[in-house]
Amino acid sequence: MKDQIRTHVDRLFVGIHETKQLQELKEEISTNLLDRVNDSVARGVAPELAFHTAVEELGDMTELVDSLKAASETKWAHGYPSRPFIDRSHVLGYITASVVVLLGLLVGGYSYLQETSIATAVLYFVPFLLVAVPVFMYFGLTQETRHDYGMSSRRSLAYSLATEILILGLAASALEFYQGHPWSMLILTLGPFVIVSAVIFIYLGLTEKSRRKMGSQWQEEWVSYYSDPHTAMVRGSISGALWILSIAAFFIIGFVGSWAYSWIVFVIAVGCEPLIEAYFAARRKR
Amino acid sequence: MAAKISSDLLRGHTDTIVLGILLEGDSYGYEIYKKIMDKSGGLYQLKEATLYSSYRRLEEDGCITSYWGDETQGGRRKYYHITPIGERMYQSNKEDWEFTKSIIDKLI
Repeated sequence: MKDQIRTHVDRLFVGIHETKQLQELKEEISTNLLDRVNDSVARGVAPELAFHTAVEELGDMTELVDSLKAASETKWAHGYPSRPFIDRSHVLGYITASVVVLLGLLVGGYSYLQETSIATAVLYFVPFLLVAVPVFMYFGLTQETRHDYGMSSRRSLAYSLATEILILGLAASALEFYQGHPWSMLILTLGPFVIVSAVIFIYLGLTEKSRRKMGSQWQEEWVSYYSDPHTAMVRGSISGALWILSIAAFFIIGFVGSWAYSWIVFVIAVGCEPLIEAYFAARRKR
Repeated sequence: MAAKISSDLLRGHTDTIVLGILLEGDSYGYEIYKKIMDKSGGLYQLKEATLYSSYRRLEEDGCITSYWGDETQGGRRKYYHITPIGERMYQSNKEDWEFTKSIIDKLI
């Protein structure tokens, strides 16, 4: 039904520049139509009939379409691009984080030239990374795109926090490693960080809602996601486990064996992803 | 013969009708539509398209503002809120209408 409504609304506005304003109008109309159809269906009307009545009673949209067309054409004639999804706070956030990363590279590079030790360079670079990563993450998650709404700021903060805890743990154990502490010590340091961040990640993962917008070309994916949330959750958990294990294996092989080979784990993990997807795709068909 | 409603006459008052609904509190498209239907006892077959044009006009004139509500199953709802300018517009339109009505009543 959402598909049908969205296609119909899309067809009403063919030929108008797809500005944010138009997208919002389409969304508004779609939601109202859906409310209306649901209302009729709840009163016992057949869904098909409810849809046709709703569309019919929508009435003549030409006046609205014409006024939008005129507005969008004058806008384009004057050379104003459509309002982008990136607002000022996001631009500032991305720039700040990028500047921090660049500063870190600068400081790291400088210290490398001074001491010709990669370990020292990394040591100087890490604090900058600790600041930049959560900032990038926060703004990335709250970013609204063509197909998804931005995440709420509280959830984004929680995600950033969990990531920050994890990389803090990694940074702390790396520091101990360079100082020549024994293995048992490293695991003891990393453990609490991993546990806390894993708990937050698992909680966030289980309570995650789809932020996908109603959009015709994304409809299929969206519908299949909603048709079986349980499968989607299992699918996500398997992927999550795969990557957490890979990261763990990367560090274990790296520390115990050699860093020269440990990266191969990621190649294997990347290879596993399509296999998992294929398995679920085959199950979905059945 | 049953009395018919003159949609041309009513269309000129759509903005005022919408403002009147919003005076009762913030509301969104389908709810506004339903309230208008209920108030008219289902006698006024208003088209939603007319309402969308009306929201656009009112918003451009600063009579109403809009904001997005929380996501529901189908997407977000766009809510409208009446501004002080809108309230003044409603009052003056209402007075105009009452004045017009009294004259038409005398003439027809």
